[in-house]
Amino acid sequence: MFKTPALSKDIDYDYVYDPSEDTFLLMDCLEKDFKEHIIQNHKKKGNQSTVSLEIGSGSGMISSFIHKNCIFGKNNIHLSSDINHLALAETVKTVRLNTTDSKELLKYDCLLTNLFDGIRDKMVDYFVFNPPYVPSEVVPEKDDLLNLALEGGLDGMEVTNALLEKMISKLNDNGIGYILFCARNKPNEVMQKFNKKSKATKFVMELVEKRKCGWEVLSVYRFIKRE
Amino acid sequence: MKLLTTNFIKCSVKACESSNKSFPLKYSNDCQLELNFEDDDEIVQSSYEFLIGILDKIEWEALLKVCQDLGNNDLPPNKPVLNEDVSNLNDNEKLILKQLFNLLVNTEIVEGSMSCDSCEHIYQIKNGIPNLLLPPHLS
Repeated sequence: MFKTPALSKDIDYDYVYDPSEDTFLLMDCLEKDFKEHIIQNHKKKGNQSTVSLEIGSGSGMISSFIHKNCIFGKNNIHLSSDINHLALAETVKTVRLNTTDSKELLKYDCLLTNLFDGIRDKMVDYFVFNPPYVPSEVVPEKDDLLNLALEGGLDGMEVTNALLEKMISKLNDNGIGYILFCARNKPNEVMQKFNKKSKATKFVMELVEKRKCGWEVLSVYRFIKRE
Repeated sequence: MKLLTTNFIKCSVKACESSNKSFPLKYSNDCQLELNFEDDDEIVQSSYEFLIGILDKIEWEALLKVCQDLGNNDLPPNKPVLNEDVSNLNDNEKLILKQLFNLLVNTEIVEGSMSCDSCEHIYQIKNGIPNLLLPPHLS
C-alpha cells in the first residue's frame, strides 16, 4: 500500500478544503487503477512521456500522493492547479513536505487557473478532479474561497458539467480522467447520457469504485479517451 | 514555473481559443529567472527517458520563441532527433540532453509576466506560479 502524504500543521482550513472521505476514496481508486489499469495504458503510449493535472488541488494531499508514488509512471510531469491562491500555496507546501530530495521536484509544477483554462489542447494525458459536488442554489462567487471548493450549484453538477465539456478537447488520445461524484449528482444518469454520445466524443465513462461514507454515497468514475 | 511549462499553457480567454497567436504566450524581458545548472551527470542521466519522451510533445517553434523572449538563443533551430534507446546515446546526444535538462526542468521563471499576442491580456507570474485566472469581464 502507498503511504498517505503528511500535511503541514498550519493549514488554514477556513480557506482551504480539509481532506476527508472523498479525498481518501480518490487516492484508493488511483492506487487500485495504478495496478490494474494505468500501467497497461502506459504501454499504449510507447516511449512518450506524459503530463498529469490535478484540478482543484486544495491541501495538496492527492497531488502529493500522485507525485510521490509516480501513479502516472516515472516519465510523467505532474501539474497541480487551483482557482484559490491560498490553496495552491498549501499544495506546494504539502508536495515539498513529502519530498525528501529536491531532484524529485524536477517533474512537478503548478498553476493558478480555473478547470482547464489556459491549457493547450490535447496536452493532458491524465487528470484528477475532486469537484465542488454539494448541491446548492448557485455556484459561489469567486471570492468565497472555501464554499467554492464545496458547492456545485444545481444537482452539485454545474462545475463538473463545465469541466466535462472542456475535457473533450484537452485530454490526449488514450488519456484518462478521474472524477468524484456523490449520489445527489445522479452519476448513473450522467453516465448514461455521457455514454450515449460515446461515438462522437470517443469518450467512455466507467465506474471505478462506490463507497458509503457516513451519510453520503461517494463514487469515482474513470473517463477514457479512445484514439 | 518551469520553462517546460511554457509549452503547456496558452491564453485563457475564450475568444482566443481558435487563434494560433494565443500560443505561446509572450514573456516580458523583465522576467526573473532562476537558473540551476546541474553538473552531476548521474542526475541528468536519470532524466534521459523522460526528456526524450517529452520532446515528442513539445512544440519546438514555441519553445524557441519563449527562449528568445527570455534572452536565450542557444537552441538548435530544429527539434533534435534522439536515439530512443538510452543505453545507446552518443556523446553529442548526451550533450543535447544535458542542455535540455538544464533548460526545461532546471530553469524556473520566478517573477514576471506574459501576454497574449492575440488579445494582449497580461498574465502575472508570482513566486514561481503563473496566474491564468481571468478578471470577471473576460471569464
